[in-house]
Formats: sequence, structure tokens, C-alpha cells
Amino acid sequence: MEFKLTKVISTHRKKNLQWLMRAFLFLFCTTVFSFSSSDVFSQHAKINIETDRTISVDEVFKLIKEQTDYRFIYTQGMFKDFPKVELKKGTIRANKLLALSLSADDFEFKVSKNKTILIFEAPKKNSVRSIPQQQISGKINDVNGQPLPGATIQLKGANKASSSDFNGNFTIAASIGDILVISYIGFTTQEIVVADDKELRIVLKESIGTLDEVQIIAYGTTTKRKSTGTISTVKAEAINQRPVDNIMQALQGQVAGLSISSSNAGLGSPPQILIRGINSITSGTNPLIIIDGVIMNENPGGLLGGRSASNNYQDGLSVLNSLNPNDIKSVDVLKDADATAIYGSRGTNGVILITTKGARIGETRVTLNVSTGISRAATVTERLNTSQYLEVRQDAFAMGNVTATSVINPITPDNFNAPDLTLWDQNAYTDYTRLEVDNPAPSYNADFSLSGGTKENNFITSVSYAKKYDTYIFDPYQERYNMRFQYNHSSKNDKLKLSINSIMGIDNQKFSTLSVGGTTAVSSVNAPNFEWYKDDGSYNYGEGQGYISGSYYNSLPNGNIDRFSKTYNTMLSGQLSYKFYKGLTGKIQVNYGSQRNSYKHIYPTPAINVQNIYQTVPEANFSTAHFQSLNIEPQLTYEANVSKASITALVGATFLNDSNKSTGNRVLDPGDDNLLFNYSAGTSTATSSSSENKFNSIFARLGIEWDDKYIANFTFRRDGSSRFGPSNRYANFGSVGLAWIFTQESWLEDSNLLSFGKLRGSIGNTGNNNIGNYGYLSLLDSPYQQYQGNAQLNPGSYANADVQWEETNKLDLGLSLGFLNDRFLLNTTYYRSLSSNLLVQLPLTSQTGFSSYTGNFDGEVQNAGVEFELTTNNLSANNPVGWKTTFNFTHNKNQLKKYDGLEESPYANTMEVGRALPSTNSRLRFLEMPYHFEGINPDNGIPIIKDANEDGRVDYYDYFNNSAWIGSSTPSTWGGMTNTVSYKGFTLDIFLQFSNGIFSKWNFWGRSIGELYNVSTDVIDNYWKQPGDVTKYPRLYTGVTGDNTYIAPLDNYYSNSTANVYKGYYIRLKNVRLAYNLPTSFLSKLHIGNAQIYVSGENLGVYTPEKLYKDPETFWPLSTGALRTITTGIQVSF
Amino acid sequence: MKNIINSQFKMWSLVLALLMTTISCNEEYLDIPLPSNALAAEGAFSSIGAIDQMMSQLHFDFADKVVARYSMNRQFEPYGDNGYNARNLNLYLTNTLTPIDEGLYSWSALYRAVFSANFLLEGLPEADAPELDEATRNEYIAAAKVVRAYAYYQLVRLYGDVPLVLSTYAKDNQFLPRSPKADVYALIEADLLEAVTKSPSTPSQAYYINNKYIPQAILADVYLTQEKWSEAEAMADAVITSGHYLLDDNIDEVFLRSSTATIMATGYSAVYSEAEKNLAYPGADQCPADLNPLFQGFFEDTMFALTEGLLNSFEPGDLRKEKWVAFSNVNDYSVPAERYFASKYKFFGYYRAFDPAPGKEEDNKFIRLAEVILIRAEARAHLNDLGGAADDLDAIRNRANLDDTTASTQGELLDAILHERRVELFFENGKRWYDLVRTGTADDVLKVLPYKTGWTADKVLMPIPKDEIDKSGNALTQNPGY
Repeated sequence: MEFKLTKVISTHRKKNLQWLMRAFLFLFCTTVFSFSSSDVFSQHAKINIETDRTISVDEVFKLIKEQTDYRFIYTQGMFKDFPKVELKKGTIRANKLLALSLSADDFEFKVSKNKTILIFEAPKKNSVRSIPQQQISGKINDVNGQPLPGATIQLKGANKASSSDFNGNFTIAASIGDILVISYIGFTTQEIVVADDKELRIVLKESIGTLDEVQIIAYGTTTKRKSTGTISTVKAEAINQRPVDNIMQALQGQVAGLSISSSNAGLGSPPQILIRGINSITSGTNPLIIIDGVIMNENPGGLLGGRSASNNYQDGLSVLNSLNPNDIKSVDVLKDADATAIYGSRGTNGVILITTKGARIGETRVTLNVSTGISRAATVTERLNTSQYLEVRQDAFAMGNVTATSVINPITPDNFNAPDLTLWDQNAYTDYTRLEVDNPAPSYNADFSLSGGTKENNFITSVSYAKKYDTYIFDPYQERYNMRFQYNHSSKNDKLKLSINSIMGIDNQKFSTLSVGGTTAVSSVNAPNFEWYKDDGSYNYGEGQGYISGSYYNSLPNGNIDRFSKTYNTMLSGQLSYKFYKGLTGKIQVNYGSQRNSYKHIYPTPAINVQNIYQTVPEANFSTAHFQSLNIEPQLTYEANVSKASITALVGATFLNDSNKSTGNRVLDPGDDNLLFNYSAGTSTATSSSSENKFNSIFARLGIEWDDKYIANFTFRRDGSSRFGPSNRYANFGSVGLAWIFTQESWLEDSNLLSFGKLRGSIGNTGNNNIGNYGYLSLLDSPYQQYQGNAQLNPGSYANADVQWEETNKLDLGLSLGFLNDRFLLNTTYYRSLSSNLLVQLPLTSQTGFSSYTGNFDGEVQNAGVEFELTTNNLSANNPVGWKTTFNFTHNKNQLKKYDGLEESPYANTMEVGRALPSTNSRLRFLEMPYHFEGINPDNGIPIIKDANEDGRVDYYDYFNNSAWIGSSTPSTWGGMTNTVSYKGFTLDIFLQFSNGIFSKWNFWGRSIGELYNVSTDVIDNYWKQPGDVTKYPRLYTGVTGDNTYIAPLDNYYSNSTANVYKGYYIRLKNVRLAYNLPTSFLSKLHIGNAQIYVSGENLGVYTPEKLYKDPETFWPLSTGALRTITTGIQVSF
Repeated sequence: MKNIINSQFKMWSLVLALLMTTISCNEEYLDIPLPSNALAAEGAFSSIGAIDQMMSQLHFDFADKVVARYSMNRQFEPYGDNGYNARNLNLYLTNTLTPIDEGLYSWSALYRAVFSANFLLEGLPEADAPELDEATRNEYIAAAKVVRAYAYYQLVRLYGDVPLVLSTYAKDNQFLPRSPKADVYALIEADLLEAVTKSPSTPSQAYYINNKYIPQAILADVYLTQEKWSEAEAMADAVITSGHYLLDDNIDEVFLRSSTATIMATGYSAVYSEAEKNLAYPGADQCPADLNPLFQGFFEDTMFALTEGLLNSFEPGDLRKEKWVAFSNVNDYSVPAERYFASKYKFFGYYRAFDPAPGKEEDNKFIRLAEVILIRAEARAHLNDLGGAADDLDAIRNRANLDDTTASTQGELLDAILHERRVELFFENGKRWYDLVRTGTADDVLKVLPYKTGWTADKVLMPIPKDEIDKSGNALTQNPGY
């Protein structure tokens, strides 16, 4: 006789009893896992034994039945001849007891849903099919009772499958005792034993945060249970239907170790993406982003090639804008050496693998999702109304000048120095802030997808459209068209597989001419009684009145500026694999990516504003940029099971070629606005550039699993890059990852509390080659300018033929724990990465003609930290209310570990050994090195600024200098928490996100308080009025005249001082989403499978311990920060 | 069956093995084409197109780095006694520059110009572009020598002893120490003399460095600074008597492109580029609102003005005060003298966004005939040719509607010439500052000005930037007093 095990992947015929029993327990564990714990024989089912005694097997079953709600069905007398079981006084797990009792021969176990275990003698070999087949029918629902149409029902061990219809009903031919495997995307796959011919009621549970979820890794997949590396996975649920314009925004706060921040709130601008801190001083911090195998342009803002005139949009555009967030199935973030070393020279900053939704097998299914929303500025600074404003201004003039001899020297306002007090209407009022930045902005989104097919041929296609307006004046918007098609083919014998995936997207951006980041004056701070129109209806610029340009600004001409960007994004990937020998598969993957951007900035005559002295003639700028990459990767994989070991081996190669081309054309003052589009009209200039980069690698990976307990993973990669001189092109990278699933050990299998435990560690090295192309070559380049009608050529930089890789050594230690049948899953990681052979600017004395050159330096940058991820199901599964929490937390310590001779280096002013590296965003560096504000001098109301560098004077050198450093603006701690509560058809998600850092709270523009511009309302009653006043704000200053000794601290020093810097944390209510699934009974009449309506709010609130007048994440004084967006929509599938 | 599988396996293994071998050995795969907007430095001198563009770079570097950008104009007028800045540049006004101050970009800018010149001087003699004839090659070499000489002339006057860099190989030059002034002047003279012999003798475009009168005029100045009076006299005389230059009768026309007195200007073509727009006119972006036709009603407040001392040094009836100085009505100035601004160039513009009317184009004058005449006057006075000196001086005075000089002794004449230089050349490339230093009068003149809080006699030389000293591993040394 032999046992047939229902849930063991490969059936071994060994009659080893112990092994059998362990397998039996495994059955229980996994069954528990997929069923709800109330109706199965769970691990915490315990049997109490009152005295030591010896009983028969039948009595054992009776005992179990008495103390648990389990029933056993077996033929009477089956265990008549079985030896008796000796029991000791105490408590024993039911599983263990069963194992003790059944100590011989072959039985078959069938666990059915209704707490019944069938035990019968296993049929003789080849007699399985002797049981007659019949039509088994059933219905598949989710936990909310909603039917799941299109779920796949497969007969285990047979090539037979079916799928559920619109109402979740299915039929399949099967025999009693057969196992049905029920799977559905996003849900835990379940196995059901056919016990009788009654209709099956199957409830599938959503598969978030489970251990056996697929995780995508480089050139393969793994699971949370088996991985040796540190990989975080974000599933579609957390991304889809978030009202974001870029998928990265949806990842903020979702992944331990991944920090996403945007200092520029402009719609469509790329967020800064950092995985585990800044590793490099000069050679880039962006992770490698791969979408379905297609490598994205490594500079996310790299579009807008010759963007000479787009300085208001200096960060460029994110290449991910043209991706539809609803197409995404999962995002996997690879962090440690084990996961990233196989990407070799590009793995240092981590890897983000984005996978789009795959095709479904079964009846063709249509999904439609339509939503609409409205955005407002999340934070608007309240500014003075006209009477408050005029009072402040009059006060300023009454205070007048401060001089060495007298603190108060009133000035008389006149038409020239104070037109707002003498010329303009004293009752006119415009709330310029709201007018400029808080216009209700609608958004629309629609996507449609179609998927279906057989196991051999299946497909998915989706089409989507989205448009989102910004709240700035003149309706800037972002618009996306996206189309995707995936086709998969598999040969009958499963040997040949083909997959073709294409994504095409168009991203249109209409820019706001008032977009953040520019130096152009903006109207938010206009005096509230300034008027945009004169009495005769013409535009009012305040010509001839006053003398401070830009303090009262007329934005109206800007409405005629046309700034528009269009990006075409194409990603094609194909994968062909053939299994030509047992376990041996050959594969070739070809990926092509193209991002083509065209940008125009038309500044016609009606846009000319006499206030804008930088732009006095009509002008047009056109630029194009085209990034292309072609990546070919042949691979060979081998899988085998030897004894208790399962081995996976991979060898492959990469041929990558990418290129960047850009052109720019500028037409200046062509005489007629219609000729602005004529490249040869007026004064025209053109620029062009191109560069190419090639990559060539071989890589290998060997994975060994022993007894599902010990796992080892080895990777190796040899990389060659055209970025380095011929002698330094190649380098080797590799890693070792080890994991031990200690809950598989016999001494822990009895634990009731601990259901999963894994200890893992990895060590290895990766590289960084983000130094730009051609660094090793001595080139003469044209500086894009002409002199006396001639182009110029110049050795632009000092070439260093010896430049080579920057290397990072990574160490990771992780502990993963699952408690109470994995209801609570905890994952903690300690990591440390040490970058050396740093690519930096090495100093040259200016007498050489250069100030520095790119080279390697024996310095070290370290990032060390801990990551913490927790997933909990707070209520037991039989509670009608579901409540799940996911939480992640990261603390990272970034440090310049070693840099001998830093004083002589170009970094002498901005870095210090032992300290964090300054922000990679140069604008944020101003926050890290501000003037030090030490209060307002009560005697004269002038801000006291510290002589930070102790050179005896307060000046520019007390700013933006090492001695002024107050900390890093790059977050050291961040994370997020999502709570999902579901009841019947309702699901509520609440997502909180937090981060720390240094943020700007400067919400003014211009110079000192009291000048001709509007300030925030809290200035009232908080400024210095007379000697002896102790106040928050300094004295007022008219802006008319004064002694520089006092003016400098009042305007420049004060506004750039710690008084206007917020150092701390914020917690943001990032998203709240309420969804309702319409009841099936209602939908089935309409032949609709599933329908959900939802309402979602993004950026609903933010908390900081100190009151700020702006969003902590935005740098620019007048920017609104992240938009507050309320979206409502409906999703239907049929 | 097994055989088939085996042979298939072998075949695939072979294919893959071959593939892997190809990959790992395929170095050529990594060869990439050059970017479309660059040339390899190697071989660039084989192309006349590339050489012409490198020469354009040289001219640009001269205009940008030696003359205009790092503001010999703006900074050194306040550093001396001609200019007064309304708000910024206080360090110059008060002579409180330190070795870490930003204003010292002159050092790196000048050495960048030296690099551009050295790059051409290394390449041109060996250049094998077929279209490059000997005359052109010599003209180009001469231009590079003029740029190098003038950059060193600025360096040696600003800093004293400076490193003598004569090649472009950074690693050779990185730690070069300072060479004695005499060696630097020797190089300047040798370069300029060679430029004189290699340059054409007919000026074609006034604002290109392409004729021998430019190195001659510079040499006259260099000799004057070194008190080589007869050499200075001879060089100045050669320029004045060449027959190519005439003083403008009308003082309004001196700064127009059409002026007949321009020996050298960093000029602008009719079609100006981004780069040219950044080369500010002397004081053009510093002008008060009511003097600027472009933005009536608004101004940028970093302007600088004439000092009372300069204003008062004009004699009554001097046309130059009438024509080259403007009064601002903006009432932002507490001191009356600060309301007078230099307006030698009439065509102001922040970024020179409008084209001037035909015939009204202006170029940034660098060497004018008037200066060369005053050099000859000074040299003659030192050589005791007092009559000749007075004649030269009167030529300048008469044009400004002033009577002949009343100075008669050598001392009086030298004082009169120095004064004339002040009122003729004010706000032109900091020439007043160099005069004060050259004649040894800086200390006497500046120490009595009440606002010069940081003045000491050591301030006749600039500090060497601390950064540079650090980067050189202390091969460079600091000037006394800093």
C-alpha cells in the first residue's frame, strides 16, 4: 500500500514514516493557509490528556473529535489491528497526536471544507480512474460574497481546466477524491478535494502579503518564503486607482528602503527616487528601472533635451509619465547584493522592476474603469487683505530706516516709492494667491481592458486615457494616452513559449508659465490692491510707478505663452523560450525602448510683459530628444532535483545599446509672430547633441535549495561598458545569499506561535557607472554659442583615460517571521553598503585651465540602516469584518566615511567626513547650509545672524558652507502604514505616509517684510515695532533706502536663515479610499460580473509638530505642494 | 529517443558555449561613435574648420575671460577711486578682499584664457590642414600669443609673481610654483614681439586680434608699466604714425563701431549670440532706470556710480563730463555723487535684446588711440621731451574742448597726464587702478578716502585664492598682507 499525498509537489515513494508524517503536517499547515482557520484542523487545535494512558487509534479519533470540531470518516474496523498509542499527561497538538497514532501502512487523507477528514485505504496503483467521473459544479466568490468570474479551475494532475462564468459558476468533469485547483489573479490559489457531487461553494481570499506570492527578480521569480535577497513587492491593489500622474508617486511610503520625494511640485516632473540612501557623490543615485524587461532611461528627467528656454521647468519630465498605473501588476524593489549583483555595474542604487498585468486564461473578460476627480491646492498661504496690507505698509514707512544713529527714521510715502499707498485704489482687493495657484482642476481617467484565451494562446490588451489639470492659473495639464498589448503562446507540449508585450504611450504636458522653479516674478505676492486691468481695460503693469521690478506682477500676458511637451513612449519586448531537455530551457529576450520628446516654448508678441526684462522680444524654442535602447539577452536555465536538493542554474548575456539624441532650435524676433515657427526666420540658433552607450555582460546564477530549509544563491556578472577607457572596460561583480527557514526544523514544528521563520544574509558587490559617456576621451566640444558669427570649439574637460567603476559592497542580514499561521508577518533587515573607488571630481589648480576632472578616489560612502515591514490581519478570518494593516519603516544613516584630502577637493565646502552627503538636488542644499538665525534684536528689530565660520563678519561665507551645515535634507527615516477594513461589499483603505528631513517654510517672495508685496497673515502683530519688543518677525522695511549693514540681514540673510527652515518630520494622510462592490444578485440580472464604485482622496492632510504655511515637501516659496485630489469612479467587468 | 535528446542537448550546449565565448571576447562591441557635437582632440588640427572654430574660441575667451566677464571694469573702478557701488561689491569698495572671496575668479578665468592660447600654440605649428597657408598660420599664432601675453599682463599686475604655464598638460602644471615678475614680463614681451612680426600690417576688422598694431599698442603699455620709456615711446609712436588711426573729432562717436580711433575692441557682430549677450557692456547692466530705454519704470539695483572725486576732477567745460556722464533722477541715493553714472556706451541693455539703429552700433573698446597717445606723452615726459609730451596731451584735451595744458615742468606734465588718463579712460577696464599701482601713487591716493576701511599698502596686489594654494599643496604662496 502507499499513501497518496494531496499536497506534495513531487511524490516520493519512500515509505519513511517520519517523512510521511511531516508531509502530513505540511498538508495541514498549507491547508490552513488557504482555508479559513475556523473550518479546518489548525495548528492550534490542541488535545488535552488528563492522565498517562494507552488507547486505540479509534479512541484517538474520538478524543480529537471531542476536543476539536473535527470529524473523521473512515470505514469501521479500518484500524482494528493497529498498535495502541501511549499518551503522556499534558497537552499535545492534534497534528502530532495523529502522527503518533497512524504509524503504519498507506492511507489516503482527504480534507474537506466542512471540518471533515476522510480516511480510506489508498486505492491500488492505476486504479484512480476507476472511480467514475461526473460533472462537478460550484460557485466561486470572494470573501465579500462577490462572484469571481473568470477564475480558473484546474483538475490537478490532469490536463483539464475550466473557468467560472459571469456569476462565478463553473462545472468540470471530475471524480470523488480528485483535487481541484482554483486560481484567480490577486487571490490565493486554493485546492479543494471533491468529496461528493454536491455543488461546491468556494471562497477565495485576496492574496496580499502572503509568503508564497510571486516576487519578480532579475531573470526569474521567487517567493517571500524562498528568497535569499531583500526584495519588497508592491501589488496592484496599492497602486491602481490612486489618482497619481506617475507611478512613483504611488510608491511613496509603500516600500521599506525606498524614499520618494519631490521638491518640485510641477505636474509631471520627476520625483527623486532613492533606494537606501545616496551611494555616490557624482555618479548618480537613480535606481535602475526596468519595465517588463525594458531598461528605462537612467535619468528620469532626461527628456527635454535642448531645453534652453525651459528653465522654469528645470527638472525635466519623468519618463514614467506615459505609463498607466492601472496596467501595473506589481512593482518589485530589489535592494541587497543578492538581488542586485546580477545587474552588475548598474545595481548599486537598487533596481525597480515593474511588471504589467498579464493575460488571463478563460473566457474573454472586459474590464472598464472610469473615474473623475477634482484637485485643489493642498496648502494655500493666507495673505493679508487690503486693509491689513495697507496698515503694514504704513507701519513700514512710519518705521522707515534704521541707521547707525537712529533706529526709527520715518519716510514719507510718495507716488514713486509707494504707489500702493498713494496711487492705487485703497479699497481694491484681489486674493492673488488663490487666483494664481488654487483654481479647481478637474481630472479624468478611463481605461478599458480585454483579456482571455486558452492556455496555449492568450492575450490582454488595454487602452487608457487620462487627463489631469493643475491648479495653477492658465490651466496647465498632463494628458496620457496609453495602449498595451500582450500575447502569450505556449505549445501543446509546453516546450515552446512565446510572449510579446508592447506598451505605447503618449504623454502631453501643457506647462503653466508660472510653474514652480523659475525666477520669474509671480503674482501670488502682489499687493492685494494692485489691479491687473486699467480703467480703460488694458493691462496694468504699474509702469513708471515704483521701482522694484516684479513686486507687483501682471500674469495676464503669460496666458499667451505656449509651452507644450509631447512624449512618445514605446516599449516592445519579446521572449522566446524552448525547453529542449528535461529541466534545461533556452531563452532569448529582446527589448526595445524608445522615448521621443518634442518640446516647444512659444513666446509671441502678446505675451510680452514690460515687467519681464529678461524677455523683451518674441521668441520660440523647439527641442527634441530621443532616447532609445535595445537590449538582447540570451539565457539558459537548468532546473533539477537531486536527492533533497533542488537546483536552479542560469547563464546569460546582455548586449545593450542605448543612444540619446537631441536638437534645439531657437527663433528670436522674426518680425512676425507667424514666423516664430520658421526655423530660419529672425535670429535663429540651433544646437544638437548625441551620445551612445554600449554594454556587454555575461552573468550566471546558481540557486540551491536543500530540503526546503537551507537555500543558497550565488550570482556572478562580468560587465563591459563603453563609458570607460579600453583598459578599464571590464569588471566582475558577484554575490552570495544564504537563507535558513528554521521553522522547517523538527524542533520548531510544534510551535503554535511561530508559523514561519527565516534567517537570511547576503554579501556581494555592485557597481556604478553613471558618469556620462565619453569621459575617458579627450574631446573638443562646442559650447552651444557663437561669437562674432562663428561657432567655437573647446577642450571642455580634462579627459582621464584611467577612469573606472565605482564599487559598492553590500551586506544584508534579515529575519522574517510569521506568527499564528502567518496572520502576522514581520520582516526586518539590517543592511550596510560601502561604496569605494568613488567617482568624483578630482581637484586641479586653475592654472592648468581646469578646476577639476572626473576620476576615481579612494574615499568611502556608507549607508547603513534597518528596514521593518509588518503585515497583520488584525481580526480572525471568521469575523465578518476584515481588518488588515501593512506597515513599513526605514531608518538609514548616510555617511561620508573616508575622504582624505577633502579640504583640497571641490567638495571642501559642502562635505565633511563623518557626515551625511549633501542632497543631490542643489536647490535643497541651501536648506542644509542656511544662515543661522539667533532671534530678533530687541533694540532695532534686525535679525541676528550667527557668524557661523567665525571669521569676524557676517556675510555670504556664513552660508552654504560647511560651518553652516545643520543636517541632511535627504530623509533618514521614512515609511508608511495602510489599514484596510472590509465589511460585506465595503472596503476602506487609509494610507498614511511619513518622512523626516529639512524642509523650507519660506512662503514669501521678494525681500523684506514691509516691502511692496504681500505676506502671510501671521505677520500681523508679530513684527517688531519699537525698541524692547521681543518678536517673532523682524522690523518692517520699506524697501526704499537704507544702510546695507541692516538691509542684508533683513532681506537676504533672514529669508535664507534657519528661521525659515523646518527640521523635523511630517505625517501625511496620503490616501483614503472607500469602495463598494455592488451585490451579485443585482448585477447578475444585468449580466455584469462585478462592479465597484469608489471614492478616493489623495493628500488629504499633513501633520507637522510645528505650524507650517506650506507643504513641507515643496521647496519653492509659492508652490502649492502636492495637490489635494478627490476622485470618484466605477469599475465594471463582464 | 535518448540519442535524439542527447544530440539536441549537445547542439544547444555548443550554440550557447559559442555564444558565451563570443560575448566575453567581443571587445569591439563596446566601440561607440563620437557624439555629434564634438570632435576628438586628436587630429583636430588637420581640419581648417576645426582650427577656425578654435580660433573663435580664443577670441571669445579673450573678450569673456580677459576683458569683460570677470569685470576688470566693474570691480576695479570701486577698488580704485573712480567708482562707488550702491549696494554690492562692498569688498572692492572697502578693499577688504580676502583669499576666500568670490571676486577672485579673475585668477581662474585668466588661466583659462592662457590654456586656450597654449592649446593653439601647441597645435598650430604642427597643424597639417591643407587649407592653412603660412600667412594664416602666422596670424593665428600671433593672435594666440597676444591673448597669452595679455592674460599674463593682467595676472602679473594683479597678483605679482605668478606660475608660468606654457603647456596644456594638466599634470605637469598642477603644482607649478610662482615665477618672478621679471620672468613673466620677459614672456609677455617675447610673445608680443613675435606677434608683431607674425601679424599682418593692415587692420581689417578693428575688433579682431589680427594686425600688428594691437601687440604694438599692448607692448607700449607693457613697457610703460616697466618704466622702459624709450621702448614705450617707440612702440606708441609706431601705432600713432601707422596712418591707420585718427582721433574722432566728435566725442559722441568715440564708442561707436565706426570710430576711427579703435585699435582693439571686443566687438559684436550684427547677429549676436547668447554668449555675446552675456558679455555685458561696461556698466550696461548697472544702469539706473531712467537712463535705460529698455525698462522705464523698473531697475535692477546693483548699479555703481561715479565717485565724488572723479566727478570733481573734470575741469569746467570738459565735454567728456557732459557726454560721458549721466545724471540719474532716481531718488534712491543719499549721496549726490552716487547719482552720476558712466554713459560712454549709449546703447544700454540688460541682455542687449534690441538691435541698435544702423550706424549706432557700439563695441566694447579695449585699446583706443587716445590711450596710446597718452602713453607716448608719458614716455616723452619721462624722456624729457616735454614739448612732445605737451603736444600729445593737448591733442586729447582739445578734442574735449579744453585749452592746452598749463603744465610746464616734467613733474607737472606727468601729473597732468595721469589726470588726463583718469578723465579720459574712466570706467574702461579698470585702467585707473593699474595707473595708481604702476605710478606708485595708490597708497597716497587711497589711504585718505574715508570709506576705504580695509586699505593697506599691501593691497596693491590681490590675494592668491586660498583654494588654489590648497589645491597646489602649498606650491603656491600667499601675497603679503593677506
